Amino acid sequence: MKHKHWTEESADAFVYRIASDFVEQLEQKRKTLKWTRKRLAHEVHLSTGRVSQVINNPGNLTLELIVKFARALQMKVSVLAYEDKDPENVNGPINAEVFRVCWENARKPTAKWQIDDIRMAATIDNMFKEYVPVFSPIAHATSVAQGNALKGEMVHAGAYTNSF
Amino acid sequence: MDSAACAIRYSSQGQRRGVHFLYYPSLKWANALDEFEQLPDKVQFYFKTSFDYWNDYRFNSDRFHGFDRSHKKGAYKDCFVFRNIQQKCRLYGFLSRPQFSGDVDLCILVLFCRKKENLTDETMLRRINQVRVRKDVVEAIESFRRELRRS
Repeated sequence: MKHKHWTEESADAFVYRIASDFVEQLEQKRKTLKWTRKRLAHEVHLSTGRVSQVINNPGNLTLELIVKFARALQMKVSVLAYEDKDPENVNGPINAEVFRVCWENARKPTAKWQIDDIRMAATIDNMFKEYVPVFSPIAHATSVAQGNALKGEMVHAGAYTNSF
Repeated sequence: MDSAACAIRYSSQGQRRGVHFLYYPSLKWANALDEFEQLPDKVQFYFKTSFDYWNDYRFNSDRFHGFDRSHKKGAYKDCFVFRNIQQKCRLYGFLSRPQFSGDVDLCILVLFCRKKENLTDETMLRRINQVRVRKDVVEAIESFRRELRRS
């Protein structure tokens, strides 16, 4: 029996969940900056009560408010659509934090050409792996060969292993 | 499943953890499921978001916490609470650890209460400790785990 995630029950539920993730990110940043909610309210030109209302009930957030809050906290926002091989929504939305961390781990690319460079580097890495035979004395041989590969020399690890 | 005297009702299951409700109509104070279903949508959404966060291993003491060994010398180390500070309500339950490799951690919710104070009412925790070792509850969890493994 496959249960669907609770966010599948209505658009409101889905909105609430993804808005909660956003509010969690805001609150984290606000605490890092050591800002009170009053200070945040001042920065977004809203009353403290309104800010608390939004934070406590994130389902009411509009895109405009999302941008205002993020900018006030020196952050930016992207609206992102993705496919996660879960068309029936059994697992619910992927937490925004996962995307943020992955982006940071990918050295924060800001443009399409940087992504192309990352893909190219990954391809080179994969090509190198194909050259490593199963029987090679793994750790040392791998690191040396990888170093050579990065210098632009495609080393056949088998040949390298022979000289090891 | 509802015809059983005691059962676990599915709520939120992640890959490694899950939060579910104890259904035990003859035990009057085991009211978490009934009360939860009557909460307004937005309050339910808040709790369900908290369940997701716990399932995802996202620490957030404003939303949920356990009672480690520093609390009453660990007498309630298997108890757990999800709370909504804004709405002044809490869901108390207990943790059920996996018995086989590949099994998941479960949090079984038992009790719902509304309270203003931040301090935990020990009566709740004592009740949770009573219920979690009951034979029928242990069996209901076992049966639920078998169902989860199959799915």
